[in-house]
Amino acid sequence: MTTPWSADFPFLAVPDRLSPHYLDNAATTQIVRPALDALVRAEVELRANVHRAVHARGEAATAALEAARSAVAAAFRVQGEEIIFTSGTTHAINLVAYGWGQRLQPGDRVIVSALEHHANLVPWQMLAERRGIELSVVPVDEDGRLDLAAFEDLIDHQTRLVALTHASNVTGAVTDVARVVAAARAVDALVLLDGAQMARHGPPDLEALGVDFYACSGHKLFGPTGIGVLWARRAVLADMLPMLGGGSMIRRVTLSGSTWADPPRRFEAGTPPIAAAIGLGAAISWLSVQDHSAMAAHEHALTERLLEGLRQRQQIRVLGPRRGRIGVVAITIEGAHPHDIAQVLDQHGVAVRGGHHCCQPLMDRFDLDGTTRLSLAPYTDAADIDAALAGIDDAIRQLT
Amino acid sequence: MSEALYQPALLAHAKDTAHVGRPEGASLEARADNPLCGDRVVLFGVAQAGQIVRMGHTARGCVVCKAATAILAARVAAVPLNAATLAAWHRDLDQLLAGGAVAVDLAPLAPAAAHPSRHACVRLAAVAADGLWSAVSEA
Ligand SMILES: Cc1ncc(COP(=O)(O)O)c(C=O)c1O
Repeated sequence: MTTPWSADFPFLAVPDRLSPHYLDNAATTQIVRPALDALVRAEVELRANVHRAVHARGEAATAALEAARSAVAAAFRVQGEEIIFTSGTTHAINLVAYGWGQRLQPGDRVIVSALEHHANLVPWQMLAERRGIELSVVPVDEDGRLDLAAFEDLIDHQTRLVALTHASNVTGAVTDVARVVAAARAVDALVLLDGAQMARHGPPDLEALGVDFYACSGHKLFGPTGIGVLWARRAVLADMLPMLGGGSMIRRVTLSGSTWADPPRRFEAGTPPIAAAIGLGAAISWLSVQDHSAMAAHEHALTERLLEGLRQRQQIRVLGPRRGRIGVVAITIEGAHPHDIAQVLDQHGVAVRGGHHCCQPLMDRFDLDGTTRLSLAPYTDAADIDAALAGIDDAIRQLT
Repeated sequence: MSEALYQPALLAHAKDTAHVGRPEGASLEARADNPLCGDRVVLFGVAQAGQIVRMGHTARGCVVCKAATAILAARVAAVPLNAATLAAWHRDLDQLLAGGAVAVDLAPLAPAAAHPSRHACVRLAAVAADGLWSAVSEA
């Protein structure tokens, strides 16, 4: 079976490919052909260091890197100087927690949620340790959504930042960003969105979302690994401290001290992952011209097929809401451990993830040791879902 | 390869409750966590003359982790845990996971050798046993 997007994904053409039913897209998606082609071209035809060379190869590499930055900016509807290439979402959020957070004072407050990936929790805990600020946590409801009424009670004039996920990597719940932004604006707090899971559903329209920081990872949106993006408004970036010092990020260095380059270079010390960034630009350009409603309809139909199948099996509990979710489905099977379930599914050629998904506080919230997560992509087809359901039946048979 | 992992013998060990819980007179306790999956093994030991003569456990984890813990507990019930038997346990696990010789009681764990992501599950009880043994040495 193919989908309207299958032809763009080279992995599908590999004979006897590993894990033929790949349902671990929340962890890492497969690479899209234009990203792979751009990556290979950058490594073969354009490989040289950027920004400093006067030779043709270096000039071409620099132009391609900056073109990638512009492509991301255009897709996200922001300015090129506001796009910082990072190694991924984790790096991007740490950059904010350090570069922006370092200016916070005791008495200031940052709000996160119990739904966050450790990448959007631990950096804030580290900041709270360093700066003596307060960290508050938005609770999660029974359906695995943020309790926004509780959030609205929590937020106050001490709040400087609200850092939340755009979509959960466990429950699949999509955050009501407009409501979060409205509450934050009312107290002059900034909003950071962890877009790791959401960005692959179509580049975020950052102008419309009205947030202040956005972080995402290339490998979760059909791009290369080792590359991601931090976006922040120019005025916010201008005020931020660099996290890493070294080449490229300076204006002037003397033995007695240094001054910083303007953003984005201030935050890109050293030689960047040039080819990966160029590949990411190609992935986001590809994504931005897809029919997003057709993609969403495809993912929704297959998610429903999966949920319906799961509902017919009594031993299974599904986390997450019925509506307002992406194709990320976490389940538990009574009496079976997530790693054993994932192992049995692997015997069926189905790749899923078992464990806490870097969301231990969320597991505590539901009193679970872990879950088994199935996550979809545009190249997922009905055969993948049916193979997963057959594998789950086998897991129930073998393990319970 | 992976076909044989969940054999009846492995599942039986995972469900074996023979040595589950804290044995009477246990004064020692050690715990090991696998941060990747959140699995946890807690071992309780009754010390006598510098060895552990009885051992109980609570394992919260996958089939592989629980079975390995139960097999270790069965070993200790037969022969006390001391520096030599602990070293033998580690050696047996090393050999098994390297795809080499398999001690008779460890046979149900042998298919795990083909799955490097599960090696830590096989070894978690051994990590806890190291903790228990240092507790004896310190006592
Ligand atoms: C919601 C969320 N945030 C952050 C991350 C971290 O992304 P990365 O490992 O690419 O930095 C992930 C990835 O698992 C995620 O799902």
